[in-house]
Amino acid sequence: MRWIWHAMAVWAVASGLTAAVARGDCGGCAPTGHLGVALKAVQGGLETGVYVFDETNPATVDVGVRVWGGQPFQINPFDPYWTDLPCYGATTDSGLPPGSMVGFNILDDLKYWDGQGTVQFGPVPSNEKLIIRYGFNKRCAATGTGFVAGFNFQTVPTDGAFHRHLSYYLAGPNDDCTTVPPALTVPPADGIYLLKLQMTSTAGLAASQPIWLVFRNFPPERQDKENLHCMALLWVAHRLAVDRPRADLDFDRDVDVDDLARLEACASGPGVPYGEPCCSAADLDDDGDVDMTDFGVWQRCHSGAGRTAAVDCGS
Amino acid sequence: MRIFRHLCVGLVVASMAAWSVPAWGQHHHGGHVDVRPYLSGGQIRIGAAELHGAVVEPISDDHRVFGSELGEEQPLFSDHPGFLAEPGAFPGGAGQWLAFDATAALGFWNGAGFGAVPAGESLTILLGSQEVNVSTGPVAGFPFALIDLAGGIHQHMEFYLLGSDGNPDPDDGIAPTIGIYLLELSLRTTMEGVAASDPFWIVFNNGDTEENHHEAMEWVEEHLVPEPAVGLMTAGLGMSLLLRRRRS
Repeated sequence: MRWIWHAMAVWAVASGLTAAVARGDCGGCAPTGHLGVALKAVQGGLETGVYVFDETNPATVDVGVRVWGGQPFQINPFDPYWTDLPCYGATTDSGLPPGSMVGFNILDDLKYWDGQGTVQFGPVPSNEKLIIRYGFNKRCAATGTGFVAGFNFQTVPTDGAFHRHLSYYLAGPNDDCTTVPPALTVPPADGIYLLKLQMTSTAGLAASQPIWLVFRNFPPERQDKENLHCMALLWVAHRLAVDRPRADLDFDRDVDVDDLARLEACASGPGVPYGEPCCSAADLDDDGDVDMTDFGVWQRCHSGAGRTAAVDCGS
Repeated sequence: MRIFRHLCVGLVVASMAAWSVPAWGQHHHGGHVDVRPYLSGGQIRIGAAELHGAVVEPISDDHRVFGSELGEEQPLFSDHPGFLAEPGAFPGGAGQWLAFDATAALGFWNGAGFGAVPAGESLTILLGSQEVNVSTGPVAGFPFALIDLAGGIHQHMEFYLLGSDGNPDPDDGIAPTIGIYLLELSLRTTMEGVAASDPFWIVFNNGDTEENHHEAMEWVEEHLVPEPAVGLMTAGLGMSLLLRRRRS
């Protein structure tokens, strides 16, 4: 029966007939929930994965992931420009030496995308800052801050497992990097904020590869907020982190029928530009349309639901 | 030492035939004791839970005294105990909030009981941009934990001990008195028709001995925890003392 499904998909992509059905709704990304940055010692270095805070299935999964969505700003009515997600965690198989400490560095300026058009990160528009704090320690990313040495925030216990939350404050134009919490006399601009970090260890392990935290800052009533966040997550994952295949269009690292559905929804046909900015993710060969060539990439990458696809499957 | 610890745990477990949580006697070496609020009979109840990796393990349905060591990660600071409730702890509560109130002045251990702080010390409770300072009397807290879709919570607030100058800077020459400090809290919720919890206590050790910390916690168990819960609390105290130094 699979050939029938594929044939129907081929017809839909080739004709571009499904595009009109889903204009303006590429969908949100896979749930991020209470997911954190998992840390693991791998071959003399720190490797990141997804830390799942799930009492029935404690795990470090998807080792190799380097992009996190965090908890969006503006959803906590009592403290709209603060969040403590993503958290940081390790499980008993972490291999982290007990007694060592883990921490982070900020690798780059805070970047920003306003949610208009296709994803394009640049400087923050009004001198916004993002402050990371734990206890008395705090560090700040803004325009011009560049590399900022971070701090250690967790001593590894004897069983190698821990779960730690840091505070993230999004500060406005009138705030400085040292006053926490920020006064927020002028709130930070709505949009997507991008923070580039690396994780560090005092145990002689090499620092992790860069990781990216993609924070959403839109009001709750904005209808397309999840779609915009997903566009940014996919763009960072595909273009910067390269931690999943281009054909993964819902940010879950597998390539399955869900991704095909998104491809179909954006299908424009050969040489016909796709209409919606969010469809840029479905243009897997970056030629401005979504057509059979893109479908071919999906075919080569198809791994099935729940099965991580190889990052380079489309090449 | 682990064998000794397991023997201690075994003795405590054996003394508690009426304990109502089957998992109580398992794997206590792997986590730390957090405040475990849950809904029962129209009121927030306070028990204890441990987090093992990512597993929430309820260890008590009735637990009122929690220990905390200031200065383990940073001077005059702790983010323990956390607040940890398993899925289903607040049925129908998804999207609602838990808040706390400090229901008494900050106390200081004088060797025979708790009295006023000696030198104007106070304790700041902070989460994100919200904070309150507990000094000479009760003070209203703030919402701090969103009940998740599964009806559970997990949140750590931050506790800072301040000197008489009203700041938590450990390097300004005005340090809080070394000793044991007592914080009394209760929890409330935005869920309709749910009564606030009875009081519970966090006993902070700021550089004093483990023996004094233990003694102060025992005093709280004996003098502040209401009578029906004392038996369970005494056993729970042993567990708390065994485990409170563990970090998540």
